[in-house]
Amino acid sequence: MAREQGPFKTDNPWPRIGWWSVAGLLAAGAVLGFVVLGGEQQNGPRLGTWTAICRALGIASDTGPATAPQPPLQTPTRIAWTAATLARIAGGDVKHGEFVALNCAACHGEQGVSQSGLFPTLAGMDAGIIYKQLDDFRAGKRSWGAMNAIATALSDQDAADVAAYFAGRVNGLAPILGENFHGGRTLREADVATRLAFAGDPARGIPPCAACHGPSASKPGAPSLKGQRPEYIERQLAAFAQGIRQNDINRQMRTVAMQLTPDEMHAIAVYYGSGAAPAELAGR
Amino acid sequence: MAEPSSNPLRQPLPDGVVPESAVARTEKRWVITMVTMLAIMMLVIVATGLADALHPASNVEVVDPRTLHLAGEFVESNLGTAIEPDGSATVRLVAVQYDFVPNCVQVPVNTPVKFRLTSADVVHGFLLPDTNVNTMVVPGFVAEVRTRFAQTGEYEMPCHEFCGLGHHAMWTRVRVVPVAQFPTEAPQQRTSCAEQ
Amino acid sequence: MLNSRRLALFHCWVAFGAFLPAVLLGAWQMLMRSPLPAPLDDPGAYYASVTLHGTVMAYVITTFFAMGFGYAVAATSLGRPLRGAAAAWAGFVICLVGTAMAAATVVAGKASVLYTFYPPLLASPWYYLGAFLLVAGSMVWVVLMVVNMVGWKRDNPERPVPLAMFAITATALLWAWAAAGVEIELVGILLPRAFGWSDLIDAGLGRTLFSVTLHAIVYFWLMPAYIAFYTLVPQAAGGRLYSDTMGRLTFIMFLVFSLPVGMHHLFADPEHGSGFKFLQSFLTFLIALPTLLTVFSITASLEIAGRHRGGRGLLGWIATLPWEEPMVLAVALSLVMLGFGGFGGLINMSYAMNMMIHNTSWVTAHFHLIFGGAVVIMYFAIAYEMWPRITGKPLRSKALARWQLWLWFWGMLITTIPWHIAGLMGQPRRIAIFDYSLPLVARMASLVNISVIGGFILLVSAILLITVLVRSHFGERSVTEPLRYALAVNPPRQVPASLNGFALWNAIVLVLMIVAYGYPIGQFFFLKSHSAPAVEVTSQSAAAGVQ
Repeated sequence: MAREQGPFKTDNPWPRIGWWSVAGLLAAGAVLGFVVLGGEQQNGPRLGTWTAICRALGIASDTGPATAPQPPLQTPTRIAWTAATLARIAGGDVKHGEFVALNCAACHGEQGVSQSGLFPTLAGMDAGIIYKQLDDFRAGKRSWGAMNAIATALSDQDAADVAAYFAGRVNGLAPILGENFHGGRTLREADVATRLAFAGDPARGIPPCAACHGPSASKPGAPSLKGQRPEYIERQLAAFAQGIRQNDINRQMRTVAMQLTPDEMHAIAVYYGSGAAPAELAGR
Repeated sequence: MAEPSSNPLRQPLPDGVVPESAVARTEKRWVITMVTMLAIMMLVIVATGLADALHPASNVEVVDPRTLHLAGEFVESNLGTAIEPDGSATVRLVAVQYDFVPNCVQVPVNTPVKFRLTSADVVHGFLLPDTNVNTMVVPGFVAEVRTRFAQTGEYEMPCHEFCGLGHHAMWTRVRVVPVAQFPTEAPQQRTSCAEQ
Repeated sequence: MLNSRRLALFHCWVAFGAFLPAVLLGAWQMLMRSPLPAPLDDPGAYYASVTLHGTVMAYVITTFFAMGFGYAVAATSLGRPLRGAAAAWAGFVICLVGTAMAAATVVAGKASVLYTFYPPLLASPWYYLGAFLLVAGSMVWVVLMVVNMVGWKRDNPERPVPLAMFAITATALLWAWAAAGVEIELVGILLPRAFGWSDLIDAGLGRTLFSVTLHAIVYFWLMPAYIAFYTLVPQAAGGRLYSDTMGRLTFIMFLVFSLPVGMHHLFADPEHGSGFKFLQSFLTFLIALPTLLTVFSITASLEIAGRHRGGRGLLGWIATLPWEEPMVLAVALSLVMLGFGGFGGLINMSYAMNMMIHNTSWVTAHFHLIFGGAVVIMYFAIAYEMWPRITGKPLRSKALARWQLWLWFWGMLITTIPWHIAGLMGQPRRIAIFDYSLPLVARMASLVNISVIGGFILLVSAILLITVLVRSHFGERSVTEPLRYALAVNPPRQVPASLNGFALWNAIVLVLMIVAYGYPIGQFFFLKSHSAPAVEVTSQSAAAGVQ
């Protein structure tokens, strides 16, 4: 047992065998992968060595956006969930927000708990969502009677403030998360609302509502629905389905709502909106 | 196993029951056979790669997943199928929890088709069963897959990567239709079979 | 050797204690995704269950089993008490705390990200912390294996390290290398984000780092089985090991070639070019070599045993093998499953063919057959072999043990063969609910139903396993011999330094890793902004994480 034989000595055959075979394998693999195979790309002539290597590394062109002209730009909103946006929303001043909210009570109810099916309950809604909707109203990305004018009158800071104020109100929407695992939430379930809310409908590409709107999971931009006015939920689903409302990022709600029948919309609205009358809800 | 036994056959074997040279010889033969077998399989892969350009994705393009909807290639108005000046089709899709947008894709038959996809949130997957179209859709990167459909028909297309609690419902359709169904005179038009 | 006995026993009980509930979850998942009714049918519960099933099977059982087996091997093969037993117990406790932390978080529904994490999905920090502790605690074991081997070498400069010890040290080193990927991902990406110290997640970097672990970990799982192939099987069959050198080379090849190959899990990923994908596909082919060599060595060793027992003719020696020994039966069943599974694996690693089956049930079937089948059945056999030695009580009973092995074998085949077919038809993975009204899915219904039957056979087998182990544990004490290892036909008197230590091979691994992963990982630090915000996965109360 010659213990003095280190890894770099060549008097035992194995270092030589090891290093040479590894070097040979790497060289063969690199030549095959980068030069030989890299030069042979679909729909194209054989590439030169240098281009082939760059192509195999993934950094050369032959990809990139196609040349066909783009249709006129349409965007659903001006908001993106970037760090800057999130910081602006987090900087909302509740005290000033309470003052701004005096303008809202007439329609959205005392402290944002709506008493009318025409208007959503805002109490307990995520601040980012209120902020985005205000910006969408201001930018004309979403239309609803007086809201466009009201939102235009608000400054960006006002919007962040009032959003922070409503987000902190209790007795409105339930916290978005909060339910245990529960049987009967598959496609076998007879109750339409439970089935759509927790299992969705894969054949129509309808995901479960609960995977974004709670109570199973949450997602940025998706509001809590438990405790929302059912008439409001139903009307929004119809608006998404008919393309009247188009301010959902990446068409997420339009894609889903277009697949729903009016009866299903009603069932879902009743499921989320009922059973938890705003006044009975626990605070967050 | 090692309990002593009266059976002479269970007595320990002596050293060298197979001579060292025989061991070395047989092992050498086996190693050569196996290395040859693996080398042949490797060659088949290289040969199909050269003959049919069968490769995995090989472009690394980055994109900001947070602002896809504001500008650039993946804005809402640019999604769907575009017919290129050379007659080929480019299909752009955004994968989001829990849908592909547009959620029904229409492509021409017997035409080179290039799928370009990206994700707005988490990792998704894109699979057309019975074809070689299969790619991960990773947020921050553009996945590109090229193919050609030889027959008209409809594919059901699942998201094949766990993307959250609604993953199982993320299914979409790809319809392969005659070329005549595509507008050729309006290159800026984007088509899909999703209900608008 | 008493200190290692208790260590081995405790580790193995944790492993097998966790095994039964994990199999139960697996069987329930089979039911959930089939056309048949299932109890507690909630997709949220399904994804939590898949996470727990994967975490327990891939991290908990394998790590605890390898550690327990390692301590037993170190003490018995070197013939002296384990050094650092106190540290070993400390490692055991760290691993146990990590396991409990991770499992509790998953059960609470706050970590349904599957054991492969899938950033930018984000679980509760306690899940990641638990996983990190489990891996970190096992590093104590890695150090102890190296310390014990090096210490023995120093005290016995003229003798080659026994093959079993050499192999378990290779396993430990392989795990140290492999775990680096997931540890860096946890410490560098997931834990900082989960605790709110960082903002965005680089999904591409996370996936690439995980791929470093993801393939080598499979060989970490596999190695105890191979150690049994080389050192316990010939002994149990009453023969000799065909070749000691081939054994050493096999374990060295596993160490060297299982690491720079993880990118074959990323063939379909858009964050890498095809060049490195091919290079790692190329290296992946080499990892088939040690397995092919092992099949030869083990068959030759068994032939020696069979002929010694009176077997004649070309295949007559097979009939004379002691099939009543669970170890001999297990190796045969294991090799059959390895054959089927290895064939599937060749498709997976083939660069272009992979596109047909990438992320379909084919892959699930493949690793269940290789790991859940070929490897785990050897874990059972090792347990049956070790149990009498570490408890001092005979196995009750060998007949029951054979039933258990047969049931596991058939259960695994019945489960995975339909999965392979469904995968070819395009069945995606990790789906809680299949809609059998979709034409594509409807075609798979009968295949899924058949695999459910397999799943429940596996559950019966797992119950039998625990029954045998518990019955033996509470049996009557009788004197038994320590674990014995097979001697080679031509016992090694002297072996070259490079086949008696790992310095050279670690250096080669380092170079291979730099070449294979240097650019693929490095590129993320040069690419333009491509990181994504985390998306939290939570399926239960606790308003934490929701602003």
